[in-house]
Amino acid sequence: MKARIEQIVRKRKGLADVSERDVDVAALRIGRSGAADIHLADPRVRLDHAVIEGAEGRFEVRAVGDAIMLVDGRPTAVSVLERGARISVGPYELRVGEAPAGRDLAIAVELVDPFDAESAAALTPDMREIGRHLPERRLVAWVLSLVILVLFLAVPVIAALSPGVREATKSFRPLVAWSTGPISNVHRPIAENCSACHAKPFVQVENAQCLACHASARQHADPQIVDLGGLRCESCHKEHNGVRLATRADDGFCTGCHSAIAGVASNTALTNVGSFAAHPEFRPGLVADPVGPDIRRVSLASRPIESSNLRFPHDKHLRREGLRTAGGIVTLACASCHVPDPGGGRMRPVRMESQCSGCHTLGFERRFPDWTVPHGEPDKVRRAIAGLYSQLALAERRDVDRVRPDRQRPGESTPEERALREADRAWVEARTEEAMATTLGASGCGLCHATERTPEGWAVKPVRVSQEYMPKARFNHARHGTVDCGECHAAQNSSSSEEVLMPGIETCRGCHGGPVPAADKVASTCLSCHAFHAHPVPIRSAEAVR
Amino acid sequence: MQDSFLTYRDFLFLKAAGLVGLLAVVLYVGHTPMDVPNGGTWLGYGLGTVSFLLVLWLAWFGIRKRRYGSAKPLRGWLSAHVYLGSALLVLGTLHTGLQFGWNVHTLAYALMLLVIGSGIFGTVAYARLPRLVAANRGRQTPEAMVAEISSLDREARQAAMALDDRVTAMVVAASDRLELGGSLRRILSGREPSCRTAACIAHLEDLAAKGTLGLEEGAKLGTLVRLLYRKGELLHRARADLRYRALLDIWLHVHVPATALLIAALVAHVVSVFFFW
Repeated sequence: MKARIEQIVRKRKGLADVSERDVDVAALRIGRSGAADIHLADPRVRLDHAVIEGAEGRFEVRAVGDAIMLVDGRPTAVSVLERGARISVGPYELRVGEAPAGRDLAIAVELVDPFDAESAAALTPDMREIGRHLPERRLVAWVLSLVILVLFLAVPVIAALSPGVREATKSFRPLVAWSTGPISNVHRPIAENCSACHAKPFVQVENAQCLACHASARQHADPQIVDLGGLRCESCHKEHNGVRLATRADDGFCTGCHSAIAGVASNTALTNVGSFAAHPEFRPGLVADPVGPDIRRVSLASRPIESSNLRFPHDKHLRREGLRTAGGIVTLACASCHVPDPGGGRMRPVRMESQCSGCHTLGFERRFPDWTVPHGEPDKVRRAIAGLYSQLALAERRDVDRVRPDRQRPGESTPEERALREADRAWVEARTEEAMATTLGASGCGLCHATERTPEGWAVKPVRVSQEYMPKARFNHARHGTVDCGECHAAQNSSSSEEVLMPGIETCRGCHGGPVPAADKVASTCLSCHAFHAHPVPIRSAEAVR
Repeated sequence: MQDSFLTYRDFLFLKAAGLVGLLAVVLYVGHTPMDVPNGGTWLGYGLGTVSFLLVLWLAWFGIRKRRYGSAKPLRGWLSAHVYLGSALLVLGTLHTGLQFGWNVHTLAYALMLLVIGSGIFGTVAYARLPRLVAANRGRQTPEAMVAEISSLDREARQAAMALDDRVTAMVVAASDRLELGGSLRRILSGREPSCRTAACIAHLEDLAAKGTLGLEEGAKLGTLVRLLYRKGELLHRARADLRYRALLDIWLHVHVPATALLIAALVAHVVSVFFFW
């Protein structure tokens, strides 16, 4: 094979420098190797890259091994050489030209893709800037800020103002994002309804919203004495702070006014309370007048007495050696008579029928011990006694039939009959009067009650015992069940029911120690014993009055 | 670190920020709110107001520092920005009363943490990295490193010409593009997990270890390996440099947008709290 090789070197300005040489070989070897017929000095070319073989106008180009070779831009293993064919070997292009006279083949060789280290270094300079790998800062800031303002401001505001939008957005509840914390357990039924409390935008929750449900919430004090109308429910009851509805319970809230109560309520009857340690002695409400309705608060410090018209010596009933009764020796305890109410907090009133009658029977006739009178008004007692004696009279005077004639007109009685009846009546009357004196006298009703005989007959003075000695305190007997009754109530040595057996505050201080107690004392605040909403009049009705 | 923004005026703003934080903690501990501590008590409103104004003032620094023509250096401003920004962490946290939930209020707090956290990252980066950058560069700028890598590539290709096809192909592959950066992970790690230069070096070391090369070929291989060692070292330093510069820059990509989001969330927070007062 006689071939002409044209080496083309491009200059900067595009001018080509062509050098020719002729080779005469059996096969034309193309490669990086120094031994190659077409020597391509570039590391991208293999030592032996391709070979051209053939004879008499038909030549083939063949890639050596798996070397990559393109013919007219297509990867090719073997191809017949046509005139004008372009063979790419690495960065070189070999073009098949018209063979000059005396030559079988003409090939022009040109380096078309020279290696440029600078351009290789500069290939991806942008990717060395981290900003290229991140979204644009300003864009991120604007877009996400807008998202926040729309999701957490615009949509909730619209939902808050428009019930229609609220209904439409119910599924994802945009206002939930505004909640500052979980709603209290008791308010969960209205948790989804923000406007139940937040009625007006940019206005603090008003009392009217609370009172819409809490219509029976009671005043703190008589509005005539002190006006607390300016106080907001929300200043003491805080929402969105957890499952428990917060209630203001610090003593400072109470003593703020009560340490100098006249300052806020000039015509109050209350005494000042600065702290638990300085709490004045209890002033139980006592029956001041045994007949009238008057209850007067008297300090226990003055050792008051209560005239109840009832004689009951606690000491005699609580004798340790017991009491002799018809049924034998009975030892009484406090609980024998004082029974707590179903809640356990307070004691039920003591009743003659249930608590006393077990021992104190109301008999009046020695011969007939079964005969008893009812516990009640003297008239009732008298009727019962007279009835029993009448029965006796009728049973003993059977001879009444003897004096009855054979024929008698209806409604007419004989003189004998009349005389007999008159005698019976007198007898019953005499017996009854006698028994009344026994029953209502000092050994009967008079044992416990104040009785007197008036020209009109026997009378029992009404029993007047204070039903609630300390109505402003919340005391629960059940919660003090571990304490013996006698530690607070000195009943064991009380010989007269005139004594007020309510304990003084020193007794409480034996265990309770105020909000910051000593190590061995129970912590207690004002609200441990007192309620804020203490006045019976509801807030709402008082507002309506105003 | 003489007279840097951290030590400005003998830690003036560190002391101021410490005082503010301490005052807030003392008030918080001494405060006995009606219920649990929360943002709605007088102290809560107070801390919230101060924190909000502080956020706006801190964000103002971003605008302030872009203003040219200001004769005063910004070192004092930066010092105050860094230290009072850290104090905001205390004020903001106390303002929450440690009540968190899935709501706009906690969103604002989380964004505040993101801003302060990225800011602290930036502060630490600016305090530590410049020295490392200088030590890593030596007297060579990154541009000079890249230029030297380019010329080493050219020499390596030349040196590889006489070696076998596999070596040549590997050298070509290693020099085809500059193996520097390319993805955020590569930039920040300072590593190239599939570095072709390193692969090439490993291959050549294997070849040399086999000891099957002739004297002439061995000498050529030795030349190539020396070139590639130098290139590898330069690449390592260039990657470290890129990494340091990225660390000095990346926190701003969080700090700045998060500040904008924080202000947006704070506006929503404040409006919502008073809308439903």
